[in-house]
Amino acid sequence: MFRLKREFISLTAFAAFLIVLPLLMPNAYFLDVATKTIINAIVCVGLNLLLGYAGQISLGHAAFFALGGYATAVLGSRLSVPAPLAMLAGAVLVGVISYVIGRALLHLRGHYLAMATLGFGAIVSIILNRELAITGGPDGMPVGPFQIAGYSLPSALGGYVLAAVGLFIAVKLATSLINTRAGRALRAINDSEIAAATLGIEVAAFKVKVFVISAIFASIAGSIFAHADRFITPVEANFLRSVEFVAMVVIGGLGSVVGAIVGAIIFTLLPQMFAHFEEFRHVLTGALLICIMAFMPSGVVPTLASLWVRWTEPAAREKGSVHGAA
Amino acid sequence: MALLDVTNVSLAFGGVKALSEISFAVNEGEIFSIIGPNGAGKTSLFNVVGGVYIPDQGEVHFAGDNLRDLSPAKRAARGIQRTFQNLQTLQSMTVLENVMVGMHLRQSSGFISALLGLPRIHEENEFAVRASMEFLKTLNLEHLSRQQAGTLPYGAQKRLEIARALAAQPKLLLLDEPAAGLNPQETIEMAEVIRRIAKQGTTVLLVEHDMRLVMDVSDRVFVLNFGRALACGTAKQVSSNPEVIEAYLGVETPEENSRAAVN
Repeated sequence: MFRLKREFISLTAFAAFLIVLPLLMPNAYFLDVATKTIINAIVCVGLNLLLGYAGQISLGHAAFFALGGYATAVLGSRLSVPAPLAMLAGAVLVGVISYVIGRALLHLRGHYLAMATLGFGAIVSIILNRELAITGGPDGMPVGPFQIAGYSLPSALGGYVLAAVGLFIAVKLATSLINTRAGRALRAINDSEIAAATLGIEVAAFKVKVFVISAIFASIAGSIFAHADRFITPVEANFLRSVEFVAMVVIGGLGSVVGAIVGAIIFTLLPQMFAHFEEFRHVLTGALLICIMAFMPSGVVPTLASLWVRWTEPAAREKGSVHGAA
Repeated sequence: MALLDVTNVSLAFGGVKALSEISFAVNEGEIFSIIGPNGAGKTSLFNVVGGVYIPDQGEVHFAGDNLRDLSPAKRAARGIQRTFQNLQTLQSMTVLENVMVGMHLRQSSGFISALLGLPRIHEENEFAVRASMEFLKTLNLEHLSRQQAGTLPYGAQKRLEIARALAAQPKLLLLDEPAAGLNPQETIEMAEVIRRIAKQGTTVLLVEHDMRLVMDVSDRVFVLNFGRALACGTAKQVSSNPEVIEAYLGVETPEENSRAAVN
């Protein structure tokens, strides 16, 4: 009961933060950065389920992201399918593709999924670049605003609201998963596959399901991105984008929903903050990320959380002993 | 009819014969122990029953079904649970959560209802917490329920593995050296726990080095030596069997005596 109440309070505080955030942004540029950060965070919350809980690496999440974006662009803007339906169609397509990939590979131990998704990402990238008639090729294609029954919010704020709603739902879904039978099974697989299997957990089937869920998160984020940016290019499917998503989750802290969000914030904001160093901004970003990994190898959020526990522990221990004596 | 029927099982790793034509049957409700010197093949035999190794020859039947093609997870679903000689507790999860994972097979909610946070999830969780606390009580762990499993002392983690396995309500429980690393007092308590498990209707297959524990709790004892069956019978029969005594203590041959005298 206590835990549920605390979860409710954190989610409410998070929603309030997302509502207030655009009011604090001084101009359209900052609002755009906030929107991009939130969209990255949606991908990371999903990817963290796969990476942080099922212990599997995907190097194809940028491809799933781009497929979602192009489903929205091609179906929604070119063929005039209603935006929510186009988004859903992208999610279904990505769900089917990721299921086929996962089903074929996830019963194998090791990094087969990473290799296969790497290859899949390259294929998607090539198709998006070459199929000029459908995708507009390397120049990309314009996307309309997110409309429901002909209504839409003003463009910059509309993108932000869509992204914020998306992230809130993603966080709600991910946090409610963790303390359930399925969530516990996932965490058990991460701790010991042998123990999980002997307790009757079908390890491979669970990994496939999580892979599909995390790919769908990426697809929805891609659709939101297309609406928010009003444009999409094949660059979104780039291999480096996939690596960035993995880096965000690792830096924020594996197995932590907050960590996934923090990782997305750090990784999206750093290059912007170092913008006036021009070419050197990537060097600075890289150096800072190396420092984070060197001093916080388990990620920013888990490291800070354990420091917090150590800092408050004397009080906790005292309480514990009183409780134990009573 | 026997609950577990091992017939003519052989297993080799490369050229090394770990098990040669092993046969035995475990009856429902009994405590059946496998003993033998180090390297006799006890753990290999255990892993054949658990589904980690597939034997080169021979068959394992459980409640009448051939287990040959069943993965460890499928065997668990049929009612076989095990503990591990080298601990496999879920380190990052709490003691309570470890046991709740043990209840995996008894519940059925999946990802969709979990993601949507349907009411049945809440009911399932409440039931799992209540039932798990009962299993923790049985093994004297309820005061540690909120601790991370990885922080528990060795003996407590051993008991936690048993609580977790029991939470699945198995028909057959495989215990791999439950007394290893326990102090004498803890070993006595472990004997009590094993007896209670059998009394509640779960058949126990025990691999153990601690002879006092084995002789104390076992209905029947099966002796392995160099991958071969040496003897099978009640604790009393086995412990007075000259071949078993030889395998365990070694019998001085006249030749060795003379060599000792020369030295």
